[in-house]
Amino acid sequence: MSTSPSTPPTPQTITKSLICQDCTVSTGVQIAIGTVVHPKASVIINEGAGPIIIGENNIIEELVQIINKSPEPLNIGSNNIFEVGAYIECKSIGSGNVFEPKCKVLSNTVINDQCSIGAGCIVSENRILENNTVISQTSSSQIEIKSSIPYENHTSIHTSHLELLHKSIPLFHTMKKTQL
Amino acid sequence: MQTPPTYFEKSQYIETLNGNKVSKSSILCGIMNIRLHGKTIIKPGVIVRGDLATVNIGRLSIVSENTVIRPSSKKFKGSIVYFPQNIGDHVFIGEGCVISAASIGSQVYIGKNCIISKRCILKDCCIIEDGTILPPDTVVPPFTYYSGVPGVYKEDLPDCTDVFQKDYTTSLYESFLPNIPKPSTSGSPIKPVTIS
Repeated sequence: MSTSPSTPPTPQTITKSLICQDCTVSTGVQIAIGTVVHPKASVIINEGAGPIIIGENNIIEELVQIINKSPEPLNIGSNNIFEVGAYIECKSIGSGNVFEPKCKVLSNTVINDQCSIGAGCIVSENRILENNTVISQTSSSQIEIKSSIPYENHTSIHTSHLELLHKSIPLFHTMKKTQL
Repeated sequence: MQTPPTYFEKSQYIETLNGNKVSKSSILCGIMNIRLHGKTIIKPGVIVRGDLATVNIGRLSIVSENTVIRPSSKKFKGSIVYFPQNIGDHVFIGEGCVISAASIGSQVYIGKNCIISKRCILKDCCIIEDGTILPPDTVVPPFTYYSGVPGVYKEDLPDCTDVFQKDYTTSLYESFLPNIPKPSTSGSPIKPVTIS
C-alpha cells in the first residue's frame, strides 16, 4: 500500500486530479494525482476523526459516500473504482478493488488488494478481506469466493476509462481548484 | 385508472413548451446531450449524465426521486466508449434506482431501488419489481416480470400490460398539478371528485 500523496508524477498523459465542483469534500482529505471525483460524490470526515488519504487513479462516481468516523486515518490505495451509490466506512482499502453500485462496507473492515464487492452487498463490521476476494449477493445469502477474473476485467479497461474521463469531464463541469 | 392528484410547487419546476416538467433540484449534466421528447416528469434529486453520452427519454415517462441515469460503457477496439442510452415512451422509473441500461423499451415499469447494470437491454412491456438487481448484459424479453437478486424471470404478463401502463403514466402525468390555491375553478381535465 503506497499512499503517500507526494509521489512524483509518472510519465503519463494524466497530470492532475479532477474533482467536480458539485461534490462534497471535507478539509483534511488528500487526493493524489489522476483520481476522478464525479459530481454529487461525498468524501466526509466526521468531527474529531482522522484524515482520509486517497491514492492515485481512483474513480469515485455519483452519490458515493466515503466517511471516516474513527480517529485513525482511512487509507485508500490506487486504481480502485467506486460505482454509483457505494457507501464506504471502513478502516483501509488496498489497490485495484471494484465496488459495484450501492454496496455497503461497514466500519472497521480491512479490504486488501484486488477484491470485488458486488452490487447491493453489505460487508459486515470487523471483517478482513484477503486478496482476490469476490463477494456477491443473492436474494437469500451472500456468496464469497476467491477469483481474479473481476480484477483482470477491471484492469483491462481502467486506464482507458480514466483517460476518457480526463478528456471529457472538464468540458462539461467546473472543477474545484487543486494545489497541483 | 385514476391516481389521486399530487401537487408540486410551481417555483421548483421548469415547464418546457412540449410539457416536460423538470425539477430545479435535479442535476442534468451536459444538458445539450439530453433529449426529452415531451410530457416527461423529472423529480428532485435525479441525476442524468448527458456528459458521458446522449440520453433520449421518450414521451410521458416519469423518473422518480434520487434516481441516477448514466449511459453505460464498453470496451471497443482497445479503448472504452460510452454509448447513447435510449428510454422509450410511457416508462415509469421508481425512486433510488441506478439505470445504466443500453436501452429501455416502451411501457416499462421499474420499481424502487432497482439496479439495472451496464449494457442491459429491456424490451417493451416488462415489469421489474422493487429492489431487483439485474446483472450486466441482461436482456429482458417483452411481456415478462423480473424480480430478485440477481433478477430472474418469474412469470409472463398479460397482453393488456401496454394499455395499462399507457393509462398509468398518462394519469400520473395529468394528475401532477402545479400547486395553485384554487384548483377547482381552473379548467384542468381531471378534478379531484372524492374530496368532500
